[in-house]
Amino acid sequence: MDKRNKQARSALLLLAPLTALLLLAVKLLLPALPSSTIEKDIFWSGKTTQKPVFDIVYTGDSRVYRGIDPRTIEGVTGLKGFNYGFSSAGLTPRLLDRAADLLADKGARILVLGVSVNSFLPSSLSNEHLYTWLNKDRKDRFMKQNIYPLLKGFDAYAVSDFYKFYKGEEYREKFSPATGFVGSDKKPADSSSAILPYLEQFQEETAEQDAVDEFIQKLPELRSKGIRVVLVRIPVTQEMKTIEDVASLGLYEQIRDRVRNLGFECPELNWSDLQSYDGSHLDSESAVIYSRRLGHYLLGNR
Amino acid sequence: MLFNSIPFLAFALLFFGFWSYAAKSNVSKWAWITAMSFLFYGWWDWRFIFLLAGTGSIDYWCGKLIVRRPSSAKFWLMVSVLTNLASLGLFKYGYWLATELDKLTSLAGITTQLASSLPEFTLILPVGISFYTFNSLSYTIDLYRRKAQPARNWLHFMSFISFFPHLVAGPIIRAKEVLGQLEKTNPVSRVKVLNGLQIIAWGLFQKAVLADNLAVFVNNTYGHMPEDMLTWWMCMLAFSFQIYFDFAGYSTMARGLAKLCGIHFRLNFNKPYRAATFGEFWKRWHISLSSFFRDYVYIPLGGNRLGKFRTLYNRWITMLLSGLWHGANLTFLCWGAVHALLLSFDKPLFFLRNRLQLPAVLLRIPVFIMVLLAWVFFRSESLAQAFEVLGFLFGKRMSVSPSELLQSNAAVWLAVSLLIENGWVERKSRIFRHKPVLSVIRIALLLTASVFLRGPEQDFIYFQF
Repeated sequence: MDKRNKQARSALLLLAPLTALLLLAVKLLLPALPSSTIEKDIFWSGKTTQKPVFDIVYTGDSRVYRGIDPRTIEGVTGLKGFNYGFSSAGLTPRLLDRAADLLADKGARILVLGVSVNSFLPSSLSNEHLYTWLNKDRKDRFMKQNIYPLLKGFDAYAVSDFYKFYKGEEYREKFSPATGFVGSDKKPADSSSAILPYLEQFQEETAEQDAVDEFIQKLPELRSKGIRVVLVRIPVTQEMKTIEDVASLGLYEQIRDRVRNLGFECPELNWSDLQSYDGSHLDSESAVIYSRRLGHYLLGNR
Repeated sequence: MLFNSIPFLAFALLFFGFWSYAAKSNVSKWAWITAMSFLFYGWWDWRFIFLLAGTGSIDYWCGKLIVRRPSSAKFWLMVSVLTNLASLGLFKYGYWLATELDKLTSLAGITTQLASSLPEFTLILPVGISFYTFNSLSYTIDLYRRKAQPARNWLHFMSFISFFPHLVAGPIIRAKEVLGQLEKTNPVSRVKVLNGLQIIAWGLFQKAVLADNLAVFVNNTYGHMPEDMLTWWMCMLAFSFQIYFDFAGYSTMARGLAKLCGIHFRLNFNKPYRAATFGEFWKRWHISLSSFFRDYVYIPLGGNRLGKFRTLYNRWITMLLSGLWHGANLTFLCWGAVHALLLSFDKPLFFLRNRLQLPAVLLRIPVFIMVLLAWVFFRSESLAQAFEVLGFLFGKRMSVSPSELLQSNAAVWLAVSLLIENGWVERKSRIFRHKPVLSVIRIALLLTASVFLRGPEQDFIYFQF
C-alpha cells in the first residue's frame, strides 16, 4: 500500500471518533434550546397514536393543550387524563369522536371541551394540524416514535436563536408526551402580543353558525354513550375576552346558555389571578393553577 | 429516502458494509447495486420499481437489437425513444395536457372531461422519471450513433440505470462514461474513499444548512405574498441560492457516493453565478442536463451551423424543451423562453468582455440579476403569481426596513452563500485538502455543522421533476 493510501487509512480510522467527539463537544457547549423541535415532533406523533385507556380526555385548540395539565388534575382527582388539544382545532363532531375514543370503556369517562370562538372559524374547522399528524405514514411515525428519542439533544440551531440567547428572549415549551400537555412560557411576556393577529383573523373570518349547531347537537350523543361532557372557556386576558365577545356577538355566551339548557356542565372558574404570556395562552404556572381548580370542580361535582 | 435522512444512513451503512464482498466480481457487484437501488427506489413507492425495471428492460433489449441488427437499428431506436417519451409523457404531462385541453375545449363551448377520465395511477409522478428516462435514452441513442459499447448483460445495464446515487435527481449520466467503470473490479483506494466522504460532507452542508435554511425565508415570503419590494429581492436572492445549493448539494452527494464505489461522475455545477454570459451560465448550471439537450436536441437540429434564423429556432426549441422537462406547467415553459431570449444577448456580452475587456465582475452582476428574475417563473406556481411577484420586485413599495431584513437568518446564510460562490471559502479551506488528517477534520466539521445548523428538512426541489 503506498504512502498516501496508508495515511488515508489512518485518517479514516480517526473519522468516526473525531466526529463523535466534535458532536458531543458542541452539544455540551451550546446552550439548551428553550423549545426542542425533536421533542415537538415526538410529542405530536405520539398524540395521534394513543390507546383508549384514559378516564378524562381534554380537547380543543392550543389554549387547551397549553392550559390544561392532566397530571395536575390526576393529582387532585386520581383520574388519569390525556390532553387531545391541537393547534387551531375546530370543535367538529369528528374531533369529538376521536377524543371520546380515547376514553376507557370502564372508567370515569369524562370529556372536557375547551370552547373558544376560534373553534368555529372556517380555518379552524378544517383541523389542519390534527390531520397533518393523523395522515403521516407509518415510516414517518416509526421514525418519530422510535428513532427521534435517540436524537434528543441534537436539535438544530437557527442564527436567530443565538441572537435571542444574547438578548435574553426565549419561548420555552416543555412537551409532555405522556399527558399531551405543553407547558409554555415566554420571556419577555407580552400579554397583548396575540391581540392584533386575533383582530385581523376576526376581520377576515366569522364563526359558522352551522358548525356551532352541529357541535351542540353532538353533545347528547356523547352523553348517551355514558360520557360526562364538561365545557370550559380557557382563561385569556380581559382584553382578549372582550375582543372575542364583541367580534363574535357573544357567541360563547350563546353556546354556554344552550348547553346549560340541555343539562350540560359549563362551569365558570376563577381566572382573575392567572397570567397569560401573550393574551391568549396561559403560562405554565397559571396552567397548573387553573388545572387544579378544574380538578377540584370535576371532583366536587361527580 | 433523502440522502440527508436517517433511513438513508442505515441504507448506506448496509450498502457499503457489504460492498467490498459484492464488488469482488462484476456479476455480484451489478446484482448488489441493482437490488439495493431497487430497495432505495421502492422506499418511495414500491409500485414504480416495475416501471423502472420495465422501461429499463425495453431499452436493454432495444440496445441489443440496435447492435445486432444494423438494418433495423433505426426502428429499435424509435421503439426505445417512443417508450421512454410515452412513459414520461403519460406520468408527467398527461394530467396537465388533459386539463389544458379541457380548458381549451370549454372556451369553444365543448365540454370534455379528459382529465377526470385518466386512470388514477397516472396522477402519481414516479420519482426520478425525468432523470432515468434520459439516462436510458442516452444509451440507445449512443449505441445507434456507435458512440457507446453495449452493456454486457441485463444486470450490467440495470446497475447503470438504477445506480442509486443518480437515480432520483441526477446527474444525468451517459452510458459510455459509466458502463465501462462498472466493469472494473479493483478495490477502491483509501484516498478515493476519503475524497468521496469529503465530497459527501460538502454536499450535505450545501443541502442541509444552506439550501434548507434559505428555504424558510423563501417559503414564508411566497406563503404570505407581502408587497414589500426589498423583501422580494431578498426572497429571490435567497431562492437563487436555495435552488443552487439544493440541487448542487444533491449532485455533490451523488458524486461522493459514486466515488465510494469507484465510479466517477462529472461535475454537475461549476459556480454558475460567476458566469459572465448566459451561454456560460448554461455551461456551469446543471451541466449534465444542458449537455444532454445540446447533444441530443440542439446539435441534431443543426446547432448553429445552418444560419442565423435556424440557430435562433434551434436555440428556442432546445430551451423550451429544457423548461418543459422541469415540469408540466406554463411557468417552466416561460422560464425556458426567458433563457432563450437571454441567450440572444450573449453576442453583446461577448463583445463587452472580449473586445472592450470589461472586468468579468461587471458582467457577472447583470447576468446574475437576469437569471434571478428568470427564477421568478421557476418558483411561482402560476404565471399570474409570477407576474405578481415581478410587480412587487419593481413596485417601489417599501414597508420593511433594510436593517430588519439584514438581521434575519436568511441574510446570514445569503452572506455565507456569496462567500462560497465567490470562492473565498474554497481558497481558505484549500489547506484541508493536502493532508488526509486535515481532510478528516474538515469532514467532521462539515458533518457537525450539518447536524447543528441544519434547516427544517425540505424535499430536494428536483425530486418533483
